[in-house]
Amino acid sequence: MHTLNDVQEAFAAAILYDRPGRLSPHVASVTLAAERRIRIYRNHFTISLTECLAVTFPVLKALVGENYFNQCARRFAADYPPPSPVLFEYGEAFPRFLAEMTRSENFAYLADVGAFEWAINRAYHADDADPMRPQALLSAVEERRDEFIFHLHPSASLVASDYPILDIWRANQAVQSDGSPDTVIDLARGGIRLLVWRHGGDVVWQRLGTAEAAFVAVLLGRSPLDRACVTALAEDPQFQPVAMLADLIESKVLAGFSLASDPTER
Amino acid sequence: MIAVSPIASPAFEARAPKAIALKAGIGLRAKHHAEIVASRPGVGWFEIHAENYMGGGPPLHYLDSVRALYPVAVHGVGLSLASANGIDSHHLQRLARLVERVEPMIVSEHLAWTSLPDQRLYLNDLMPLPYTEQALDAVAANIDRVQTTLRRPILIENPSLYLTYADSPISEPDFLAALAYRTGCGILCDVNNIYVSCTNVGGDPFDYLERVPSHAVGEVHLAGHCVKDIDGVPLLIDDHGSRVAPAVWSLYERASMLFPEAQTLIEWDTDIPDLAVLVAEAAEADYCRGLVTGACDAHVK
Repeated sequence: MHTLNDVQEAFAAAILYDRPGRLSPHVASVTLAAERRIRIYRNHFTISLTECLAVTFPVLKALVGENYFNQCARRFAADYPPPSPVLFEYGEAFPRFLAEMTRSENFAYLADVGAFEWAINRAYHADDADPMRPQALLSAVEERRDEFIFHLHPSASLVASDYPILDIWRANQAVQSDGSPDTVIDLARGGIRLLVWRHGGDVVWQRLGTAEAAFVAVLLGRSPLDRACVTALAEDPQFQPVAMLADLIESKVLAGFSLASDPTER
Repeated sequence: MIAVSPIASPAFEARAPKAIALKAGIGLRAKHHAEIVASRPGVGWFEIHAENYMGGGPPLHYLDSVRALYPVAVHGVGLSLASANGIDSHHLQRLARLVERVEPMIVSEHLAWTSLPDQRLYLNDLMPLPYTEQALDAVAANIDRVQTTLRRPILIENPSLYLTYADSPISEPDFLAALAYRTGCGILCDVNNIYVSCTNVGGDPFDYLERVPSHAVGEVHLAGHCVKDIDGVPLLIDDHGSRVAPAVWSLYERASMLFPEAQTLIEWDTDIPDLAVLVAEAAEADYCRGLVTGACDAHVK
């Protein structure tokens, strides 16, 4: 006698690996063979997750074309199926997967463009959080710099690339009717570092210099302000930590802070 | 087929929310958010897919705006109530947080499994289960856990079937009835799914409807399906991508007689049309139910 667990393990193998052999003896096959019935579920799994990835990565799809995108997405779904039913959280690893399938130096920018699309998706759906009140800092004005740990808004992330990914992304917002974008982009134009976050209801981004990006990266890792300053100043001795912090507060990128000795967010 | 007889008296009676049926509701879709808040269409209520609102940002903001104007029902697709090894605690907690925020008129889920939660694996489809005593125990335990966590009864929806199991001795409506008896859950009767399943795996949809315990039905779903030819056999695919089929409207007329207090929802999830098309389908459901119950005006708020 088979158990419910046996059936579900066999069903998962049929969907993920196209191996219906263990499941089909359990399936009633009146009018239509068991394998054909099982395939309906496998097809739905593959098609629905391909569509899900296409919604999150429209520019990646425009760049590589629908056929190739779908081919990569189908393999990704089988190799890395979703861990949870919240599908707007699915696909972070897809751009890297697609880039690795596409083993060509000429397309090295694909993973970075996808990472930017992921940052936009992430920022849109991230949990809400009130921005930091600058007055809250007054309560901790006596504290040392190595005590401060600033918290970025849950929507904030950093995307860095050696390629002009923002230009590529913009050029693919308006795809021409013949499928070709309306601009030619010189990949040698240089790299970019972008801070992406949600401001009110809108996903926004800001270009950062190397020192600024290094500063934000340390804050994103929840390391103390002191470390962020040292890291940024190593990139650029002219870096202005106070001006940078004021800018992050003004842009509502900061959600609060805690102290190394007291993890309560203020 | 064997009938499932009650073994012990239930903890509480199956009680679907009993109220005068509202005008029919429609599914809330992201592309209609702003238009709904601006134009306030004349539908009775909205239903959300729980998993689309488990983050923050604009989706939750619009949900709050819609909730301020209409009753809202929360319809989960990812709890996997029929998983053999229990349900995902983390996902249940996220659902509980959403339910606390929305204070929905109804919370519902499916008689299906979608995940192997112990393997952190979600298969993004509503897979069928063999209707056995063992499965009944497993599903009842999962429903009990959900209802205890949410501190309210939920409705369980019959799925669209593309296959059944060789060893599945309990009929689907009897299985649902047994769940309602054991756990006090209600039933979400999807008449399109009944039609799709009966076509795909056999059975008479009207007979099915008569077997559903009417006192437990709190909601009825209506949706479109498409027909696919597979090896010369026509199979119905429950794609929620078109108008309700004429045969399903006929089934809905009978459902309106059997479950006069249940709420009605129009589902449309793929190739989502203009809001006006959904509102017109909801009005058609109101008209259809009004003809049957002879109380058309009573449903209009």
